[in-house]
Amino acid sequence: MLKFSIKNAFRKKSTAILSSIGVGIGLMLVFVIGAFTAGVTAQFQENLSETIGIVEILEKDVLGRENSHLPINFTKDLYNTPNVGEDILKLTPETQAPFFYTSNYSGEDKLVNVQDTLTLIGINLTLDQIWGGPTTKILQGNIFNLEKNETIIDSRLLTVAQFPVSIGDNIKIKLDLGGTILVNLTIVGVYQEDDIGAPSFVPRQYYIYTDIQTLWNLLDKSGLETNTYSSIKLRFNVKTTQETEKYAEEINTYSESGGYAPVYVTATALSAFLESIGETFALFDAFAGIIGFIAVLAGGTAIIVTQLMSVTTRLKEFAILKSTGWKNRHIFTNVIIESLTLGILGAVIGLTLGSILVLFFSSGGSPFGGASAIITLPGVIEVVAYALGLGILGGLYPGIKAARVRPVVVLKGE
Amino acid sequence: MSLITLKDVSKVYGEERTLIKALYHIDLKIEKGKIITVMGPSGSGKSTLLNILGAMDTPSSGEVLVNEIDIGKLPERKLANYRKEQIGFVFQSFYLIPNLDVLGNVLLPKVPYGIKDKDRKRAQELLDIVGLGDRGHSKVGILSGGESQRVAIARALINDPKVILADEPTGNLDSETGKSIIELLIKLVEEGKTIVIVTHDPRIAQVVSEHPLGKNIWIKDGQLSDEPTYDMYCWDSPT
Repeated sequence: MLKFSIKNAFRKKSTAILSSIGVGIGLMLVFVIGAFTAGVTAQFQENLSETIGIVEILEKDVLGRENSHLPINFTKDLYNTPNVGEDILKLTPETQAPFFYTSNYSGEDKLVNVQDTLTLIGINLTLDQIWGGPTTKILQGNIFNLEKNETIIDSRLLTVAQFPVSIGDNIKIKLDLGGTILVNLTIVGVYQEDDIGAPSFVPRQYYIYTDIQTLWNLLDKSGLETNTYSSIKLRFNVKTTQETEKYAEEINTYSESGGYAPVYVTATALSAFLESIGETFALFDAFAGIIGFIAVLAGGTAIIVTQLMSVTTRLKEFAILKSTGWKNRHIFTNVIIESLTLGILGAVIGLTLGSILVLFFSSGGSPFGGASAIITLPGVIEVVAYALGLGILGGLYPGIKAARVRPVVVLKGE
Repeated sequence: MSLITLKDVSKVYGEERTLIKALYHIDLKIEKGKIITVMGPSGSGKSTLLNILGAMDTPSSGEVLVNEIDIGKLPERKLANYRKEQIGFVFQSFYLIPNLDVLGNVLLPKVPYGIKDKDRKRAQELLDIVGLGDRGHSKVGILSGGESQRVAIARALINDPKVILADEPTGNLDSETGKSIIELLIKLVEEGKTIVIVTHDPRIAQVVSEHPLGKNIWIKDGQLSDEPTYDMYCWDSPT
């Protein structure tokens, strides 16, 4: 029966193949969307797990890190914060140079998108080493020396920056701060940084690091207030965002009560921010699911139409089969196997095309710039399940129609 | 003892105003090992009779007894078994499956039940019997009308039915080919099969009537007769 039905499915080869291609395209969309969702989710989960336990502190009511100013001794105040200080595992302060002036770096040189930013951050080397920051992730070269105008750069810049980024090159950043100054740093190392996984048109933030005193010295030249931190990150030994948020709330409450006066701060659990993004992802996921479902539905219609056409033109054949002892369920099963065959062929086409697309999109050379799409077993199972479901649903009505053939009516007049 | 007995069988179609009496109070006994031709003009009820004998249709009233069982009262599932085990149909238009070869077509009734080696062997034997022993792997599309009908007969025999029901088996064939098909059917009767042929073709009736196992019956307006009436000779040409 199986061999007979499979062979029958391709009696009209071009129609059957076109129908399977239709299903395949629908399933391909489901597969690719699923792969992107899985990739983004995996990346997101990784980022989320990395940020659980981290609370970032900025000066209150300022716009952006570059405008935040926290005094040097503020780290000590944090250790004295009730219900917080004794639980701080480690902290790291940073000073960030304003980043909105870097989009048109050095004339014609630029990053991939004009919205991309290249931000210079000053870090305390000793604390960064304890924290496990970029200076602990050197891929090439060395860590910068203190007060030598040296920098380590984001590894992603090696492939995307359209300006010199080799070790030993000088990197020039135009600081447009009312007066323009040119920061001239020597690249001494490259630290590991993973891409966020989004398509290349999504703006990226690239960070290059130098020691905090070097940055202060550079900012001094612009007349900015220096010797302050832009932000301080605290790490707590917790496992959930909720626990992290509690520490942030303690700090905020203490700040509101004037505990750090004259300084007022805002503390944020970084993972809470990511979780809020996660909710947006869930919406995106649902939307993508609906698009995939519609695509599959369109593909499924192709099977129904093909099978219905096939069954309608073969009513006499079913009548003959009945006359030779085939039962209704045999004929129904035959039609279902035929449509399952078309669905499974569609799954093979969809998985093949989808895998090629996923590999292309996730490769660095694609226009999507190495989007994080991953092929997962559940993704493959989902496509196969869709194909089987479509096969059964697509064959259901034609199968019933075929099984209900009354030979005496169909063969009348013969 | 008769193999199939029809007792007071009627078959009507349509509503009161458009009522068509395809069969009207028919009594018929078909004995085992006989060949019977049913002749009559178009619309006389020949095919309806054949369909009722083959359990493809049910009578409006009366009984169709096969081995003392009234098949008119059997559920569809059992009717399918009856068709599989007792009946082999041969149609005017052959109805071969074009994407299967000759052997595949002969084995078609076995497909849902699983084709076994003995079935393949039997199919080959049947092809030998119908004179197509060397054409098993030929595509049916290249066969002549006579060869196609022989394949259809082999297909009708694959389940080893007791009864062959043939609806205008020579209707699409030239006279020479038609004759060879009738000879084949006669041969099957001599081997013990029971055959009922619905036909317009008086030559078949003649061959059958001359055979010791043969019998002709006539039908007009849904009623049977052992002798043709005058106007039964004024039939329209075969379809």
